[in-house]
Amino acid sequence: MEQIISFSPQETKIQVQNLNLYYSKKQVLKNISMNIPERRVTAIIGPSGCGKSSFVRVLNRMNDLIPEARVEGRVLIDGENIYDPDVDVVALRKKVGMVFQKPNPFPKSIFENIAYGLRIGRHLKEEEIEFIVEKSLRQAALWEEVKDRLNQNAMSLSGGQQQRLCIARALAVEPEIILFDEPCSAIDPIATARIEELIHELKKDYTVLIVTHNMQQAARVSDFTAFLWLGELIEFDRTEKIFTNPVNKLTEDYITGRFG
Amino acid sequence: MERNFDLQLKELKENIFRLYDITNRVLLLSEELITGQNLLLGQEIIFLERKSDQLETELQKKATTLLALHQPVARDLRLLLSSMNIAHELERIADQCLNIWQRMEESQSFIPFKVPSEIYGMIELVKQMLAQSMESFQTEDLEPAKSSIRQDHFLDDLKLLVTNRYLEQIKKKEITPALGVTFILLSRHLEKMGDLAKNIAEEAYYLIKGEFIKHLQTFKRQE
Repeated sequence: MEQIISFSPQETKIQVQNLNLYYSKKQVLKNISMNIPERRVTAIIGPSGCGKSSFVRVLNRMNDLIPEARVEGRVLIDGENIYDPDVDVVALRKKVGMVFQKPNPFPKSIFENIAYGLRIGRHLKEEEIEFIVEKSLRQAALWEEVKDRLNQNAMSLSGGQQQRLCIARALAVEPEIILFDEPCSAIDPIATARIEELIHELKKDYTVLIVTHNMQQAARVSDFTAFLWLGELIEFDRTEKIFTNPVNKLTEDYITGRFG
Repeated sequence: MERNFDLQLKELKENIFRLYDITNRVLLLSEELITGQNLLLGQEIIFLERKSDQLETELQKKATTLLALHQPVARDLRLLLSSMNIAHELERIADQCLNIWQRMEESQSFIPFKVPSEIYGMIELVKQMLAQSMESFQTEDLEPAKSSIRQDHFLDDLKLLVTNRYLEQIKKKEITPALGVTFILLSRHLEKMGDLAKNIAEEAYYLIKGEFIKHLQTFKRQE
């Protein structure tokens, strides 16, 4: 590790301390320590298999679903270790929402895709649900396109619209952090541009992490960029620094396409 | 296997050195023109200056295409940006050489005349600064660029000296105003060339270190 930017406690939303992740005997993340700033977009880049997706999945304990996964170290969100035994994982995943590579709407109506999560464990009146559905769709820049067909099946939407619906669904439960795991890899350039614009808007209210294989996307949407290689954090700095004058040769060779 | 993009960057850099070769030839012709006062050299100066214009345009087009198609980052981006700027500065140095020929042509009725020794000193400095700046761009060694930047103030001093002396002489009617003004203008063209050579050194510095040092007076004059 040659260059790891740090933030003051006031600026920091997530503190990752000496994080190791193993899948059975294979170590996929190696002693990662970094502070992730609040209400900023942080991009995670690196070649396939470097641990990018595994890293973001650690942040909302999605790896708990993999039986052989084992985590060492600490991940503090707002100062609390999310790996403490008494942590409510469901509440954690509400706080740390996730949007995946392929849009995965439920085979239900557009409205129900968002309302579904709101009905779990909450006693909201129907008009409150309607309010949140509209608000979330507006935040995800989808409302104008679907407001007249909320009862249509979500599967009838285009790929880009489905992805924005998934973002709206994540926003509806009022998360504080949103993890994007290659959110644009399955959609066309126009839909990609809309999602990127949306990510730019979201950082006003949310802490955003985005895993991407697309260097230009990382450069366009993020404030900070972390480069992972073989499970190690090689460099973490302001995005403009990483893309104009990285410190580490590995970073330079990766972003200029000389390997990976 | 070398990347196609690397090959194109290499070709771009080679073309920068082709442009440098032309600029250097015009510079040497200007020196010969001042020393020998043979106005016939103007034809070759004009020819080479036009060639530098064409090559600069080609380089800018090529670099723009590479930027658009490859969206380079980090070192590749710095190489492209510095190449574009260096190409522009080299072409401007050739312009200044053409200006020197124009000044000499305007003064042809005085030929032969004794050229102030400071002008020769300035030519030597410009040649040295340009060579050092381009050496840094070529070898990615910072030292020649630093040396080039440090020398710029000598040219400023020499220009000031020439300007003051010939303004005084014109005032005292010790020299024909037209010839006095020619010397002042020659010193101004050479001082400008020094600025452009210094700009090239700063571009080389940016390429190597990734830091902008323009207008920062990073390497102050050594008294």
